[in-house]
Amino acid sequence: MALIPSRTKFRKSHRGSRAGNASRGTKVDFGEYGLQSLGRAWITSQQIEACRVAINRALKRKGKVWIRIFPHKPITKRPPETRMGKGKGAPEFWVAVVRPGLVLFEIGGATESVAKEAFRLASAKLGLRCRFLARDAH
Amino acid sequence: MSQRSTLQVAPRKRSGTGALKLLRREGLVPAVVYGKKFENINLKVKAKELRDLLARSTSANILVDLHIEGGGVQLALIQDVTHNALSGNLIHIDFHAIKEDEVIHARVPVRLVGESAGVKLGGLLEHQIHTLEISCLPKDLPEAIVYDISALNTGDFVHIRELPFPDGVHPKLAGDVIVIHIAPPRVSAEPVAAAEAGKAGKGKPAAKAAATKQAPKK
Repeated sequence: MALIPSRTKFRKSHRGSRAGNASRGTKVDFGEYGLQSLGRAWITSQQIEACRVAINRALKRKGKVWIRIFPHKPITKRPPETRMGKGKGAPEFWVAVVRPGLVLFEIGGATESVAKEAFRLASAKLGLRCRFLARDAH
Repeated sequence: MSQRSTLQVAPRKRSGTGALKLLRREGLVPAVVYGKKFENINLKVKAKELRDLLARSTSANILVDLHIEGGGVQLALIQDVTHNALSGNLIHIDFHAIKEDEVIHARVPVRLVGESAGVKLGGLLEHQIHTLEISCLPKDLPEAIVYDISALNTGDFVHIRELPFPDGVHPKLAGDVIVIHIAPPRVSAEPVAAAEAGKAGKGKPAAKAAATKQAPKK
């Protein structure tokens, strides 16, 4: 099931800024391997779900997956063939704001080759460059 | 035990974002040394020396003899290393000034060796705590806590009290906290559903047959 917030303070939000690099969530904290973003994007809840399915299929139930991002931001869209004005459109979907350096997914309990393949399949579902990351001793 | 290295450092007067960016461009890394009853000193270290030091060690727990230019020698523990998340370049390093006879607190990685019997049978290795906070004297500081998981079967747990701590090393967490768990293999939902459907399929003709047998009696 796609991820959406259960309750929000406001229905609609401004576009905000995607500038700069991620300052938090840049390390592998839960599992042994991670998928780190190298670009910036709005990742939709559908994309996150597609990645989760791809990773779980590749792991064949031999690992644990952590999703490190959540789509907190509502995105509105105007209906087709409407004139300008008449206020902001209705909320259509939810996105997670991703900046370079953010760890998107983590895997634990699987071998490196399996984790690499799972992340290769998952990164194909995202519209941004990603790289494989292993837990660092330092 | 954790290795002990030496590092040449110099006091630093420059501070602030712009000045430190220039410092990094010169091949130096800004650092700071602090400690109990010890006045903070801003330092600069050669990036290459620091990289070599970190590359040589297998864990983050490194005891360093800081040769401070014009300030003598100070024993310190590397408390924190900040890297750039994208390039991996060193941004800053924190040294914690310590004394040989004083108990220190450090975070030590828990390293697993071997392949668990439970994992070979399809179980899932759940490594729940990757680093442990410990207290010990500097001379007793281990590089890592190594645990052999080859004897672990499905459903087995390893608690903190079961880890092989060297003498003089005490964990901060309680002994009954779980560090490793071999979870039983997750049974696929699809084959089970298919099997149930198969059973139901087999059952239906029998029920039908029973119904047909009963029908003529009526």
